[in-house]
Amino acid sequence: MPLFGKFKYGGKNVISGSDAGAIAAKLCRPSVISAYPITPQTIIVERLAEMVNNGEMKAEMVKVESEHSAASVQMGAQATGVRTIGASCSQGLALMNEILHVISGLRLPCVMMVANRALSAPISIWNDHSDTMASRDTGWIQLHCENNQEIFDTVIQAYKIAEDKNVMLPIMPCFDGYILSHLYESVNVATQSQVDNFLPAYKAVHHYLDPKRPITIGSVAPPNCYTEFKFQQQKAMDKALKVIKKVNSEFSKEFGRSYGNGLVEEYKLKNADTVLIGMGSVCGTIKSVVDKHKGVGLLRIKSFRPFPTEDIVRALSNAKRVAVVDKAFSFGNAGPLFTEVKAVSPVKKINGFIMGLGGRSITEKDIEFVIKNAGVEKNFWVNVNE
Amino acid sequence: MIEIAIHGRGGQGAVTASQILAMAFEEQGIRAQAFPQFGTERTGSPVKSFVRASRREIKIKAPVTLADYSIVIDPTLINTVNIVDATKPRGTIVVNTKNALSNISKKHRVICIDVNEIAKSIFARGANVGLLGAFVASTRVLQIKSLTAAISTRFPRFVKENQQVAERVYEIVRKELV
Repeated sequence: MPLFGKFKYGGKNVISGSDAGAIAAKLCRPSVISAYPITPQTIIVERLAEMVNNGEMKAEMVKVESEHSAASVQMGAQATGVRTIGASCSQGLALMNEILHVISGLRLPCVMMVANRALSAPISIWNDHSDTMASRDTGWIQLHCENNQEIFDTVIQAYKIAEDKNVMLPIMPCFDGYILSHLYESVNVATQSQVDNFLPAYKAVHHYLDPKRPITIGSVAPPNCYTEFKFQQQKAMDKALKVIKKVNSEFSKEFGRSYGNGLVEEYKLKNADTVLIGMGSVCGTIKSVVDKHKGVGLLRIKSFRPFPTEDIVRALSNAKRVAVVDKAFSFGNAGPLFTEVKAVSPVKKINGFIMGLGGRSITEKDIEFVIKNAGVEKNFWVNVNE
Repeated sequence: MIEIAIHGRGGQGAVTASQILAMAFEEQGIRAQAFPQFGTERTGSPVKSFVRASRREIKIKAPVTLADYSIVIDPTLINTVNIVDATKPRGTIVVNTKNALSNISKKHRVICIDVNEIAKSIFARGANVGLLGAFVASTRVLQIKSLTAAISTRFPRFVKENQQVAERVYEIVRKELV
């Protein structure tokens, strides 16, 4: 790995979130890379290109002219029965939207990293969750990461979850653009043989394109069967809840690291009256504030799709006040995570906080504000200049 | 937890310096994180990069607002960016400068060193790692050998030259501070 002078597999390296994602992807041996560079995801594509160029990675890197084509190429490549990797964010992810639905509808277990970034207009290259929240209904599994180690681990887990015969759905490992993609911290990088042990070679078992056995996939579904296809997709999402947990514990056995139960992470919830809920890197900052309080805990949602309703209900069973932090907004309503948590929350005192839009820093002081106002009868746009 | 801010202009290596510093802490088993103040950086525009180091896990993922140490690669930034107020009272400000700037604050320890001149005598670059040498000399937490090891981890080329700059500046500042 010629990122720097020295890099070692099977040990700790101080690397960026983008490096962590790219190296993890490499260790999963995808045959095709299809991605179009977009800030702040660019470094991921650069790293993959470097590794292909110097022969470390035996994959075909397809140069495309847009994200729509990037997703199309990834879909086509995966449909031939090989493992693939993609990466995008923001406007790029929005441009892919049409194809994202096709990929999940075709039940292709693609993995695409998203370095979360705000949506235009006005232009913002900085982080929030608008892009993946807008992709909520594309039928992709979304796993949100808190730190660089989790990015590395989640990319590897993603293939195992996606390719499980009970799932066969595409996955977006999501991590905050800049905040994690450009953050350097120590990451325990696995060896190739460790990853090979955990993740067997991909073998497409169902429908795949092969000239020796011509078939059509994705043809017309008339009203007499379209609903059944969609019902099957939802069944797969339901099953994914179990598979994500299973893969999380298998990963823990192999690598000694796990993230809650794979779907949610409960942090100091045992004696917490006040529970904060969030996704991604902000949960790190929330934890550091929670550590200074008594009676305050965090429920981190790692899997936004499938939505872990049962785990949320159980985790909130002792809570008195709940505050949901959203880094995105559904115009005309409220924060998307807030809306969904509220729909299932056994706690009636629950409110939402809009923070960190377009890269605005979320400080410890901001989290103190959330704790102070948790559960009051009003939602907040934190630090907004009205 | 120690919080460090490195100030430079686009192209002067502030971001790289922060990465090297994080690697140096990790060399000693101290946990660290490094991250730039994310902007649309252009050559010549002010750039900030931060480092946190701690014996415990660093959970926070937010910018440093009040640094224990401020490292200034370009002295013209002292007035452009409010570096003095963004440094904790009794914290340390390390400045790369020809002039004695110790009067910029009475509340801080100010270390002035002309790293450009030292770097020039070795290989014309490396002011950023030179200042890291000054930082190491000004703190008891980090050893110079951790810094030189981190330099060899980070750079594919010019490792020796960068190490020499760091060591030379370290020696000078260490003697001055005794």
